[in-house]
Amino acid sequence: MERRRLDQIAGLGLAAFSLLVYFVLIPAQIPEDRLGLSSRFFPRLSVVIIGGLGLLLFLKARLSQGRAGQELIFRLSRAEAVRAGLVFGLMIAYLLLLHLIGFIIATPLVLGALLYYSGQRAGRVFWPTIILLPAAVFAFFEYGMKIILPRGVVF
Amino acid sequence: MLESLAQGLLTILTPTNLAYICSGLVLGIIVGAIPGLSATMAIALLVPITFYINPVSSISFLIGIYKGGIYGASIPAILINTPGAAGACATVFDGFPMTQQGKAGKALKMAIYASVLGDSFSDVVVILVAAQLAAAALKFGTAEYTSLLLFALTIIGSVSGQSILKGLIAAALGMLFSTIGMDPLTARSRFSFGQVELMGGLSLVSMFIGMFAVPEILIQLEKKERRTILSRLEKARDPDDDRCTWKDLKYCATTILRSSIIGTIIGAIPGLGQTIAAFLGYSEAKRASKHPERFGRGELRGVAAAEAANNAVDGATLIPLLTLGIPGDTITAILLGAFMIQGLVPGPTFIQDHGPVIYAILVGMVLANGLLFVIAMGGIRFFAQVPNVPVNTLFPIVFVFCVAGAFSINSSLFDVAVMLFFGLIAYFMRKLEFPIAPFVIAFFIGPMFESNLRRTLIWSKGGLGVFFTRPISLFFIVLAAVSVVWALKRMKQPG
Repeated sequence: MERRRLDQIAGLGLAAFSLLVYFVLIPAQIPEDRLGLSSRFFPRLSVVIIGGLGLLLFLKARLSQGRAGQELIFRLSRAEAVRAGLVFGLMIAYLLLLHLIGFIIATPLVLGALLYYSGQRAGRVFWPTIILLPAAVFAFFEYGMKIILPRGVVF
Repeated sequence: MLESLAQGLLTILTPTNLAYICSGLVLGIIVGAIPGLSATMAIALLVPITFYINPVSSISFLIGIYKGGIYGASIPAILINTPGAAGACATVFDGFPMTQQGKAGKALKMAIYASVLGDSFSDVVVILVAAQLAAAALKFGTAEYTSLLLFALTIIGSVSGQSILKGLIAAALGMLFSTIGMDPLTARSRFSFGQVELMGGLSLVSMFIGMFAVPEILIQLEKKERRTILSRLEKARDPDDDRCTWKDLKYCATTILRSSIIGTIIGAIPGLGQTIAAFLGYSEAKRASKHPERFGRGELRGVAAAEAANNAVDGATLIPLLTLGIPGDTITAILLGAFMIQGLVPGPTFIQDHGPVIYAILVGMVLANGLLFVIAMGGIRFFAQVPNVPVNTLFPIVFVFCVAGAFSINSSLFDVAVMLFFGLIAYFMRKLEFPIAPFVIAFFIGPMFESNLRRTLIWSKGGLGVFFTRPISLFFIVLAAVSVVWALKRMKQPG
């Protein structure tokens, strides 16, 4: 995708986000008060700036369409986006697994999946990493820093 | 001041503090030398650990990572034509051609000398200037502070990144996210969505780790092809090409001094940072040279100029932080967080209130430069191998540390979710070329700006005239207006 197109999408997205925050989130999440400037003032100011500049970004990208020589091509690869999405999915899964089965069981599973996915499949690196690293991190936090890592609700 | 410095020296000169500084430096050089990892990411990841260490040791440890990381980025720039961080981009121009000519040892050693000298110059300036500036800032009322913060926000938004518009949007987004939690004046909850965890505001550490580490992991792991160039320091045929002689140092002395001054000035201005300083230092060295045609073809002064300038930024970025409480770049924003975790809030009264701690840290910074020289010179062959660490093993491991670090602050998985949320935001920001620095800095400045603005307006009964009738406030308002006009002019320029 071209940078110009991406900027148009980003500009419109930011404008839409600012409308949502201004008209829905701020009234719902911040009570009105009367002490000097309202608690809503600063969030509203930020949102107006975001929305205004977002529209400006959209217009600037749109108007640059016909200008030869200024067109910078920037590609957001779909394949890369899919791979990043998968890695992020694994990160979310790790969060859920930490809640369910705890650090000491979830970490080798997710670390193994990430290593395998990123192409590190050599046994002499893979197995020691997924076994020793979680154990070392667990020992460091639990015994060194006295921080209890997630235990999980299932086990 | 001499008495305070002597006291600082006594405080910092303990085996524990020296061990923390040395381990920070070694860690910093290693992360700096691995393309993709950065000092920012390492500091963000290690802030949770410093929670359990005393302020002097913890801040010195983090500053050690900062200094080591900025120097370390020059190693892959010189050896494999890949800067370890953006600040070392200008080092590539002459560093890599020198490696191709068999002079890698000389280039690496000049990088060490220039880094240490540039950094030391900057640290001495901080020591000389900080107390005076802080004393001047004590005269600031809320109106002056509001105008100063407005100026800082406009300059940070308009100079970071390639697009001024995107920089300003990033700053406004940072301000918006900073309003999550308690209102600074009325203590009412804002944007808490019924979550107890959000009522006190977002976890700073989770936000740092999310903004700096998670997007880097995603970006590194989304790539299919991997770098295959091997980094190593081979022995030169001519022993002179492996050394940085007194003659070489004399040849580069003026360049190093010029770049140190440039780096210090750039570092003291919030939002500019190492990359701009390095390019400016490099281009000035080229302009001043009698043989500009040698630059880009393995000129020793090119390496010295870029490295002295980018390292001179390190100390100077602490000037606005220590005297005004304004972080100059992303690393000092994280350091501000680390100070706050230790119960120290930087600002005009910071040096007055916590003099012994601050002077110990300042002396520690100068000491760290000497230690950096010893460690970098001693470990030059080992550090030259560091860029070979396989990325596909490293980043999954970094992710486990991210999760453990974010969790450790409040023992809460909610903070891990916050980290992932900000990681996703930062990933898209990087993909869409929105700079991260204005977001993070505005996130810190936002609450200060809001409370000062609202206090001023309560005091002036809503009148805006107070910002224009007080001379210092007017001065900063004019500077803010100039920075916006300059930014708009820059925006209109083609290309």
